[in-house]
Amino acid sequence: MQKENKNLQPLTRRSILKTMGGSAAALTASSTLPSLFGYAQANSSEPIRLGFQVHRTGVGAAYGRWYDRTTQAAAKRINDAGGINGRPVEIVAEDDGTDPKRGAEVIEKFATQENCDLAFGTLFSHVVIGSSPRAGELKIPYFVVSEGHHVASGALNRYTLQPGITDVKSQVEAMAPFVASNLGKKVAMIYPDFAFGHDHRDYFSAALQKNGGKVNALIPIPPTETSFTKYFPKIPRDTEVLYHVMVGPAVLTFVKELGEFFGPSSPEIFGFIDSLEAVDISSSGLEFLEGSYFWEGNPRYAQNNQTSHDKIYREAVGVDDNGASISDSKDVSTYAHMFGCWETLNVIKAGMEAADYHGPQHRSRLIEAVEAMTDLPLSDDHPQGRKIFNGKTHQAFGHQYISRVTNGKLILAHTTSIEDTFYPDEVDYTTQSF
Amino acid sequence: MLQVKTVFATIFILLIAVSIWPLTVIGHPAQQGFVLLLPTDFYISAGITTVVLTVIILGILPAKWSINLFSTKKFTCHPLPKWTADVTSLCSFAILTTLLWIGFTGSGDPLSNLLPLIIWTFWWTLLLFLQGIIGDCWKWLNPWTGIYKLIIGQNRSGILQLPKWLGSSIGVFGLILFSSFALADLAPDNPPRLAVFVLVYWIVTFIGMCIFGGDKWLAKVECFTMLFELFAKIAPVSTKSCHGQIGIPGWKIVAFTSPTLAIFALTALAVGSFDGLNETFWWLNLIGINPLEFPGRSTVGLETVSGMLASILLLHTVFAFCVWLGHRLALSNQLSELVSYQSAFCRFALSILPIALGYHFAHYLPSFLVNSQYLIAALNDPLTSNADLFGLGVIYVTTGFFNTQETVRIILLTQCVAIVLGHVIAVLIAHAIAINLYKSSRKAIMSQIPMAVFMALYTFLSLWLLASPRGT
Repeated sequence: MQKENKNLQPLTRRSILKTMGGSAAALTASSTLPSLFGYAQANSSEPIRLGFQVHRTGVGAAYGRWYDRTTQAAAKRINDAGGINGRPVEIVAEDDGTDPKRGAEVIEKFATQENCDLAFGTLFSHVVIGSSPRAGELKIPYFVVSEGHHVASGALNRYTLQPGITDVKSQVEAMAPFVASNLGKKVAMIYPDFAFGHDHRDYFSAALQKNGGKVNALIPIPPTETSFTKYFPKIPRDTEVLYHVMVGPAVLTFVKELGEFFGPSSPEIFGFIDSLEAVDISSSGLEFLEGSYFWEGNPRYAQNNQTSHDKIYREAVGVDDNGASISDSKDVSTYAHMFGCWETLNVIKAGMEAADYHGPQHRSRLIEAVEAMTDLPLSDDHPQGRKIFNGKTHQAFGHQYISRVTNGKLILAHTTSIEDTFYPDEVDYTTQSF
Repeated sequence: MLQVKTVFATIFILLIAVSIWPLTVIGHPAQQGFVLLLPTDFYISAGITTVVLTVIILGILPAKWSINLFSTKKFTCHPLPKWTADVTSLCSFAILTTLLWIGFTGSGDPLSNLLPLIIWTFWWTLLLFLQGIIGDCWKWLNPWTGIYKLIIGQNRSGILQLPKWLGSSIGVFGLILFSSFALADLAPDNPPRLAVFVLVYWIVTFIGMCIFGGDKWLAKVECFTMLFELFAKIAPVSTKSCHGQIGIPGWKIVAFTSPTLAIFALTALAVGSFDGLNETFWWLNLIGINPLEFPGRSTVGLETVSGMLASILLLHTVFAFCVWLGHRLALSNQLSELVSYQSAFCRFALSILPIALGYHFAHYLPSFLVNSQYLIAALNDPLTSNADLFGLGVIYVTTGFFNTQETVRIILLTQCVAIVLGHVIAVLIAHAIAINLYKSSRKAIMSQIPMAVFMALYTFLSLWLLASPRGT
């Protein structure tokens, strides 16, 4: 824990009232002017209540802690700038226990008890899939930050949108051109033997083939496995690239055993940071990762060419140049994913402003306004990078980052184009009625 | 016969519980990557060796030594007036009332709302542990006795009598209900949901106290008072009016016998162990759940409750068998009427209390390290109104200590030491009880052979639970 400036905390209804009744001295401080001006315009208007479905407990809690921290920072920034349509934003957090049934209950609570204008923030796919139908039934907009392909696949409904983070299909497919052109064309894939691993297997295999490469071995690992040495001899000798997406508690063991197996003469190694999200790359036992490549949704380490937008975003969330909490250098954030909460809130703000949103009666107008968005330029609102929103599929597409572990840090090696992430539309939600 | 009736009553109620308990659930996050890189096999072996060596040394040492080990030193103390406990209980009641109000009306975030943080982190995790270390704090803090005395006055015998044959079976049932809520409910942390649970429990207990007498209800039915008082028996210090006694932890258990609490104590241990087991890859694989894709509590409710009940029955069966075998070995063919199997079972069952305390500490240490930070933040801002009562500013909760091998090693070794210590004390207590029961060093040693195997295996289980990969 660390003591920080209390001003960093997002505004609640009470603190907003305090702000409105603040001292004359405060009025002279330019930084407070926008919020006071904005609230003054709105006069006695109630806050916009955003239902934050957060994984506070359950298997997603480690992500939930950072999603919460990012959300609070984003809400504070929005409020400091005058709120939305002159109304302050209030985050109404509810724990979904990382459970789909509880997730649906939380959505219902937002809609029927908490008087929330919308729901947002869910990461784990099974919770999104469990909650989305209820959001559709209750006609409450549901902005997810999940990465799952389930939104763009057409499995959900018009009330569910994912404008703040790209989906796994586009992420995986966008890796193929870089891998085939720079690392090698013969790729062995080692992945956990369930849906998550299968998605990587299917999307990457097809994309690699399009780019002139070939998967020369598929090595599924049973989910309960905690030792991997016996699987490594299955990697063909002529393999140029080893693609891994192991997840779970045994992932550090996987890396250690991989290093022991290959020693200094390994093929190129490419992985997804999901394996080591919130883990310090310079941890002992992970030395073997030196020189290997990782997909990152957003570069964890501040790069030499860091944008001013990333700098502002880091400072607001309280993350240092190594992607760790400013209060504890060992408390590594979920940097590759949590920007999605920040960007989603800014999309919601822009959507509500475009729709002249005043309350739940304008929910469909808000969805139409977001559907009408196309270009979300790199900015303080979108520090991860420019995005193109597809209103038909309710999915954002954006740059992907490939970093190389260099001296124990992730150094950006390649940024994909947004076009690399495109795939044909699989649904047109705009044809669905409200 | 009383004990036999009690056993049957408890089993009957357990069977009813199996059939009526609603289908509900489990969960927790795990930072196990570094644990799997540590030499946990060595830690487990060292722990078991320590327990086995304790058994061997006890077998070699004279019986007198084991008995003397638990002798106490007396001291004089200056007790507080009796009414002070009533006043602190009233304060506790007032605080609970405030917490319920916060639970019903405050933040829906269980890590910002004071009710779940106080209930789960302070009361269940910390206070229960402190009971075993510093003694009976619960008699000062329970939220019933003060208001009960205020309303009922001195006439506390109640209007009805609790049937004696019930023994502690309702308390056991209460503990199982509570454990089902904690382990299997969809959202036991959810503030309004928890508030309803706490409120209903408080009212039921208070009504029970009024009808059947406060002291009796708390001692035989109210499962938390029963559990807290049992854990207090491990603490090295005890005071009664102006007399105090101090000895090594667990000395009170050696001389204590309670037919009705034996099953309760074993149930508490079984539930605690299952709370660790149900997070492991092994368990998830057993119930057909992919541990890397845990679907949430709502999917595994039936399995969780069934597993917990099975663990309770299994532990009772194995323990009863060990005591029976030891009893037979000790008495050979001369079945002494002086020592019945029932009394042996009831006394030995309480020897496991230090194991339950050690496991409680070990199991909850990681979550306490995190949630205690949330608790401090919530105390600093109890109504989530951006208050800063203690001038702490914004508190960034950290889990950085799970992120280096060095700190994870320290945490794991601390957990292991607590577990091994709990088992070593349990072995010492069981041996002293055996000498008291069988009045012979040789018979005591014979009776402890099956118990020693049980203790060694339970040490393995407890340490393995810490080292095993988890998926929830």
